[in-house]
Amino acid sequence: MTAPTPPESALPESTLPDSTLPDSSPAARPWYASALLAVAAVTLLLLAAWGYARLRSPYPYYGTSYPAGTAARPFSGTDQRGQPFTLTPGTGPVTAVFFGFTHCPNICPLSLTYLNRVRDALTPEQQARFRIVLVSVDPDRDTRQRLNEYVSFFGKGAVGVRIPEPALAAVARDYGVGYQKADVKGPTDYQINHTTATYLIGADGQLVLVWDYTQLTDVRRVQADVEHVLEAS
Amino acid sequence: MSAPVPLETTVNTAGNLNPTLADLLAPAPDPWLLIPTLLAAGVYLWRFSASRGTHAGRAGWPVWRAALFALGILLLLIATQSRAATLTQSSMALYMGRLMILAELVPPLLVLGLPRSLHLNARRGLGRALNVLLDPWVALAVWTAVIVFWNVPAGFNASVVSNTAGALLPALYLLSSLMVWSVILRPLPSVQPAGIGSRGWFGLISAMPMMAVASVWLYSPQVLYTPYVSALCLWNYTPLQNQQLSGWIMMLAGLPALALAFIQLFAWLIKLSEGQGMPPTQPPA
Repeated sequence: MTAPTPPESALPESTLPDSTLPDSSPAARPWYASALLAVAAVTLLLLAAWGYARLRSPYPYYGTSYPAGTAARPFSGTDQRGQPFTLTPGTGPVTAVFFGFTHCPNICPLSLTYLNRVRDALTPEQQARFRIVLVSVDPDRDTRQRLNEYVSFFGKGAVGVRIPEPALAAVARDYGVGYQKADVKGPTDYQINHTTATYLIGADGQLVLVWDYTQLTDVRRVQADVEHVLEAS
Repeated sequence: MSAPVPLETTVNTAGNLNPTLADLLAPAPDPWLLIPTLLAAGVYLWRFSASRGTHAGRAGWPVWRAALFALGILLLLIATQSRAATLTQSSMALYMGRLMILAELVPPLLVLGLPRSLHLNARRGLGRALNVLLDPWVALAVWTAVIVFWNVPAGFNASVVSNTAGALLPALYLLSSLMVWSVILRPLPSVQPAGIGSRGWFGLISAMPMMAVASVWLYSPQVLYTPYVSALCLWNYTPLQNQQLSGWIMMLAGLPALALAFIQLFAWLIKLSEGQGMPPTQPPA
């Protein structure tokens, strides 16, 4: 004798194959209601992103801001006049630092050009409290004289700093910068791939923000960032 | 055409521009994503263990679903908690690979890992919220907004884009893609009214933009994504090679979703033909 089989409806729902599950799906909402909900969802998403950005930095910087309290790291080298140069965060002017080299065909000239334009757009009083620093990632070829010619070509506002290896690697590591020789054709014939960011350090020694080089072409917005940091200093 | 640049504050490539797999997989914890991930995994494990007590529970929540969910969590941890996440500024291909893991691998695994025995009330609480979030219109709008807003920085609020891309974008890719894959796979029929035809169309439409971008990257003779021109590239790939590799990654990652959309559309067409009194051809006896 076999046990009586319970009627199908008496089986627990989860033991039924999917195709026999009762269709408890809700009715589809009208398309216009779905469309309104979609608009509301996108609005909420963008508002949330805006809120997060303001939480990260109350001022809407064009560059990517660092979390508050991110201290810049000090470094030392020799400037284009052959004088010792030391960046001691918290003791100098507002500083825009980028890492490049004088044989760079595109990004470094572009960065220096636009940073100088930003500097030129500031008032004389603001210019006195703002400096641009190029740290060479090619100390073998970037001699004092070459650095001097290079930064002078783009204006008077920049400082070229030469740091020999291995100190350069340590400074680069502190700033999250990478660099590597590329397209090497000879001992003195090569290019260098390098991080293209420019770091803005406040007068209080805090690392405030970073611009990618593609952002530097928008001089007005970069200038607004610098002016805000100058005002806050 | 451009893509967002995640300017990682912790990126440190000096001295190692040829990272090995072990370097890439070295732990780099990010608590903002790690804690929610572990919480979700913990809740899943707790409910899965509880389901083992009854035959009905085991039948409704087979082990293979738990295995898929665990694989999804593992890939999520690799994509967000490893050193690879801090090197994305140095390699477009690595960046794209990471985003594709988050958008095209993790979500379907997590969605397939959900038990079919989950029944929510579409008019109350979580069920109601999911009924709205998994509306195809809502999912498609959110997915498109994430792709467009964070990929065309100049057109919108550049400050918001640059200040949220690095921190928010991986999570946004994950969440919006979870919505998309949930619409496609329909893991919660009790709150999702969409039929197979509309899901097929939805899958096709949502896959198209990504496939189009992948094609452009694959066949473009020049670097379109300007931040990578002459920038650092890991493993000594040129920027153009990086772009083409990114195109391959994006295209391969998008293929399963596209194939599934075609299968669903085909199934829908068969259903339609059956509904019109045209039974499928019978095999000869």
